[in-house]
Amino acid sequence: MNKEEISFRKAEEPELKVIKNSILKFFGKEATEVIFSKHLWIREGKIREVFALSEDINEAASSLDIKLYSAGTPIGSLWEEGFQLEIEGALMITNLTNKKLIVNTDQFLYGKSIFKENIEECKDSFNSGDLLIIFGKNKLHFGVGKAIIDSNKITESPPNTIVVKGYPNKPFDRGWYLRKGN
Amino acid sequence: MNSLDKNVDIYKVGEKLGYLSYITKRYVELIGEEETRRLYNFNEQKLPKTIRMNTLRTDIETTENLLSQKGVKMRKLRDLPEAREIISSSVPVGATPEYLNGFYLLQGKNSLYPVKVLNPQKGEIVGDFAAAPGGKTSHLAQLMENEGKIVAIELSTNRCRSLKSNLARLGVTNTIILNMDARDSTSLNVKFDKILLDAPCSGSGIIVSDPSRKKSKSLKDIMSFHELQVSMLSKALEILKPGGILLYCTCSLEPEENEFVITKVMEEVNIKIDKIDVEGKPGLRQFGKYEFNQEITKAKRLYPQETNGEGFFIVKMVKEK
Repeated sequence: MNKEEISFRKAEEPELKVIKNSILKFFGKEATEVIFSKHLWIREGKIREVFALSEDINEAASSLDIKLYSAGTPIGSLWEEGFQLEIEGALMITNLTNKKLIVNTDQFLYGKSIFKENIEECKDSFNSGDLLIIFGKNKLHFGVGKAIIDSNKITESPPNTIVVKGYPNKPFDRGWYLRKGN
Repeated sequence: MNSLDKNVDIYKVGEKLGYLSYITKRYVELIGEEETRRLYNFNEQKLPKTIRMNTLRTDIETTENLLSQKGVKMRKLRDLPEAREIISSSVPVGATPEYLNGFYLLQGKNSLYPVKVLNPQKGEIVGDFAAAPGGKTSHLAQLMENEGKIVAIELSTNRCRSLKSNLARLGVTNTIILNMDARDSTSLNVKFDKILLDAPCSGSGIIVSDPSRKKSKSLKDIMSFHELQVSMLSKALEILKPGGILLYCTCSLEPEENEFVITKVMEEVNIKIDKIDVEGKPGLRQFGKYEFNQEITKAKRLYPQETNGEGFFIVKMVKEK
């Protein structure tokens, strides 16, 4: 079996542009500034994972004349469709956005969808396609998910309407660390 | 069979409990018959679960309160303010939302000592030379408050994956992961302030959590580990700064993987051994006919039956300037 060829390298300009536009679109200027206060690197294999490195770690990673496995914090991934914010990236910007959904169930941590009945509180209105940072009881961070309905349509929607779809095989919820992380 | 029953021959006890015969023989030689009985008795018990609160994510009090609300009963451990022993729990502590948020991790009590003894500081360059799954790496980052640099080296690609995932969950940001043989680390052109070498070992100190070890390792295997450990330690010392500190530890009780390794390396490298303030017995003066470098008595042997935890050998070395 061929071992997957991996490279860990600094993100290139076109990649940075895609990441910046995505965060700007969903979470605004301040969140973008927080992410871009770090140095962004790419772990490129079958997928392109995006990592945020501090100044010190960026400097050290740049000076090592050896193939790195990874460094810093994984914040998301790059796909043909664009940048996908993931668990730790969502946590980094959590204080800079009102796109937050508080839920009354742990089901999202199992990669399951969030239904209208699960919503405890919604910090701001949202539209279908928006990214929302998900929290549970005691304001514990659960992850990030994409709304598939406008917030103003939830009340009139039928019971068991899905608000945020779950993806058990993607690093969008913190349960992923148990399901796929080890 | 009650291994504490002195009327039953210790070798029969060992056989009945599934230990290879050489193991009982050497433990009797190492710690005596009575302690071997206690060790065998301990290895048949369930090891208490311990957690380390991860202050990179939140303060200890918050985690403690959240877990208490869930009905997790805990007690503090002496000399380990960030650790708690789980007395009882109505939830699986390895799968709570707090665990997934990295507020704490499951970590054996005695495995907290090596990093505490190494005592990494903010701003230092620290090497972790057999890093996966990352419990000790994240402990290093916690004490360094995510400042400075950790170079975490792991040979196994699969284990690098879990290392990366665990460090992310625990909020560790100051680490570079290298998927390589730590023996090649001289090619990095980096000099380290401190190095943690939790060396690959035969694991005889953790039979309590891995009973398969009673049968899975021969004396020949132990000697293979010895060769690997000597080689890893020698290379690690090469890239330690003069005056730098190296913490060597194993979860093995075998002298070949501990005192013999240190003695061998001390023949070639100018190091001194520092006393450490940790529970446990001093390193061995001799084993069989062999007398070790007397400095090695400053090392610590943590026997499971004495420390109520996994067996460990810990030694703190300082490279002479």
